[in-house]
Amino acid sequence: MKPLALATGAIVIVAMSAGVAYRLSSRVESPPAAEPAMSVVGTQRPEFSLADVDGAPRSVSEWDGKVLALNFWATWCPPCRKEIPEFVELQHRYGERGLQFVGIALQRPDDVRAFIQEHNMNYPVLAGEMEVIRLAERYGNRVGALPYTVIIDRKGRIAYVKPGPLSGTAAEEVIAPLL
Amino acid sequence: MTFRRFLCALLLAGCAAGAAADGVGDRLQKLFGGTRGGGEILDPELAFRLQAETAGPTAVRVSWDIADGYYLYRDKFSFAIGAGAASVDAAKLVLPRGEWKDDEEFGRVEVNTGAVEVLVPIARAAGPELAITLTVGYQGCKDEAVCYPPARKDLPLTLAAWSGTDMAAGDTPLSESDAISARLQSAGFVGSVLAFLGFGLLLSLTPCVFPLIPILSGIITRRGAELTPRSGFGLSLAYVLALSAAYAVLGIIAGSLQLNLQTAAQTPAVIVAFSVVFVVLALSMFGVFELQVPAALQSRLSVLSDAQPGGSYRGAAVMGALSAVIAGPCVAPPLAGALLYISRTGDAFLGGAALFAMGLGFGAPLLLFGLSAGSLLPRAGRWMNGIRRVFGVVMLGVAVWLLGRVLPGPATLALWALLLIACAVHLGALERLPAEGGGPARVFKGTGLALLVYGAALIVGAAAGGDDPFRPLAGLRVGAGAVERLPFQRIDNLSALRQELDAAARANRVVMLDFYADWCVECKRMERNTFPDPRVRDRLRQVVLLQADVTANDPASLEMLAAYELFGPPAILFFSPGAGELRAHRLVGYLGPEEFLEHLALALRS
Repeated sequence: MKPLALATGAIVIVAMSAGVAYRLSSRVESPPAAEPAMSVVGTQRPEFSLADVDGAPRSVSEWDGKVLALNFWATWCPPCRKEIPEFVELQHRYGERGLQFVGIALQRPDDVRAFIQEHNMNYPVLAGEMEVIRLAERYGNRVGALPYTVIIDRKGRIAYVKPGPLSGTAAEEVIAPLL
Repeated sequence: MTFRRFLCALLLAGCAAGAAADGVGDRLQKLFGGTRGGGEILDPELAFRLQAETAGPTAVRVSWDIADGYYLYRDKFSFAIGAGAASVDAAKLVLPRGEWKDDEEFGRVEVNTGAVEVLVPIARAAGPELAITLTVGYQGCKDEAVCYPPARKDLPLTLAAWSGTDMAAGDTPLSESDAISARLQSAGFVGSVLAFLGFGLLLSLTPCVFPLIPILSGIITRRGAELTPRSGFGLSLAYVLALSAAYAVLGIIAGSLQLNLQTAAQTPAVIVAFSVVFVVLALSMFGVFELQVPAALQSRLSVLSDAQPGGSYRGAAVMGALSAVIAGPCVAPPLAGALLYISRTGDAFLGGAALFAMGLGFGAPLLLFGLSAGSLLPRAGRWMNGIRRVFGVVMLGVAVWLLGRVLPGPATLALWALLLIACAVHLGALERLPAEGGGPARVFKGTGLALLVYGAALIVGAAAGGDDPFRPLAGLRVGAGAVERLPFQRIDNLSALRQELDAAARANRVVMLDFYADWCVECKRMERNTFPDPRVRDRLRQVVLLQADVTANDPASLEMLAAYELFGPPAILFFSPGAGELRAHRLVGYLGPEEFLEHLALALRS
């Protein structure tokens, strides 16, 4: 037992010094790097072009001038599936006033079509694999987890990002002022 | 694992204390991948900490330390070899059971949380160190929050040199058969052959050689007046060479076809055939008829070896070949190891050469015996007939012993009784001693009477349904049958066996699987001496007891044996819920209560 106690003591001391060293070094550093997810907020949205589930290439500029909500999702992601009906409802309610939801699925188009039919998705869905992972990264999704939602204002500036589930009311609160 | 977690916690606490106040909580959160908007969504590498290490030359231990609140889908794990001359042995891959999660979208899905450890069995050829890339796939989510894309990781690993022996983990002791084949593999070809010669010599020091001595003696004494040291040695040599050749054939077949020979030699048809051979030999010992090799063969042999009269040599050779199989059950564990090794190398030539060498080693003392028998045994004499009869009785005994594997116990007991009573009568147990009879006659009569009484006891035992020749009346004792048997569950086919093993693993219980057959003498000894011991029963209270009944020797039995690479009963295997079979604790052969308890202590500890 005694060597174990000694070892734990040593480890705690080493860890404490590591903590102190971290504190000192971070003080010397220039302002800490902003969080990647936050860093894209306020910046101009990156350009991209991606095939939709029917194979037609779609460019993001197609929706210029609208309030654009990009929702990264996949059918294998239960939290994503759960929030989509609320987005369908928002699209239905605010579409006339200039809201455009666009779903971006991280999987093959074939795997998505049935879901789109089943849930009466009333907005375009683009799909892809590696290209979607890279696109999500460019939009600030460093972790790569889904769902991930980006809201872009009429001028093409990223106004809001939300890693993880986004409730309909929370989305409405962000979107309504932008319309 | 828990200790490692404890250290991690200490480490974090230490860091936090050292860095003190100013918003270090934020920083820590950032450090560990949190993003402000989404609460604490961890980097996938931190949510599912993946580690891999080799576990012996044919397995890789892959583990995930899953963060609290996160889970991995059990059906999304995948393992493949990305590079390297190997493959994942998917049939032996066992994923730990997870917990069922009711998902609103998917219904019930099985997910793993906390610490997940998978022992990935790798199929590879024997050889030196092997560099491989193991590609691991997995997918998971954070509960009610996010899901991560399917992950694929390439893990470069170096598997240790492999001897060709199966082994779950590198640091566990090898079981008897495995240890033998491991030692053999490490040598080269010449080394292998020499090693087998040595094994043969070692085997010849076991009682396994005893059944062969009367057979050889029978052959030699049949030469009668012509017996010389030279012809005695010649006969022994013919016998031993044929014995070795028979083993060589076993080796060649094992090396090429991977046949299960020990099992084949235990099929009822083969056993009955051998019993008949022994009865015939015994009858010829009793002088009922003279065994004669066909004249054509005899003349051909005399052409081949002019100086030596033929016939007997041929007979000696035939008996030698048969003896290889007779001695087989006795040398089962080492022979199983040897054949296992040979069938793994897939080298028929090596198999033949190595097992021939083993036969020579095994037979070496018999050569000496032949030589001495020739010089020690008298040239002639009426009492030679007596010796021949003794050998005849021994051969009948071997026949009964062989038949005991296929006949019901009481029937075998009755046969023993018959044999003993016949001997007794022959020894003059029922004859009046001559008035001025000599000492020898009295000794014979006394022995005969003893045999007669024991034979009678055997008959009574057989009639009462007993089956143990050494305790024929055990069944008559008051309260007999009260000897408690271990509550084994009998199983007679592989799919039922798999089901039971699965069920036990799900219930998180250890399994002891006993391969049993009615004709397996060692199994019976275990049943009688070892299993009823109260300490053994007590030790096994928490263990699921399964008994694979291979008495029938039918395809279903053979399938069960083959599934565990066994050559026949007795064999006792242990299974743990997480790790599958504890190969290192596999038990082949008889153990008494004390040794068995020791073995249990080792096997159940892990």
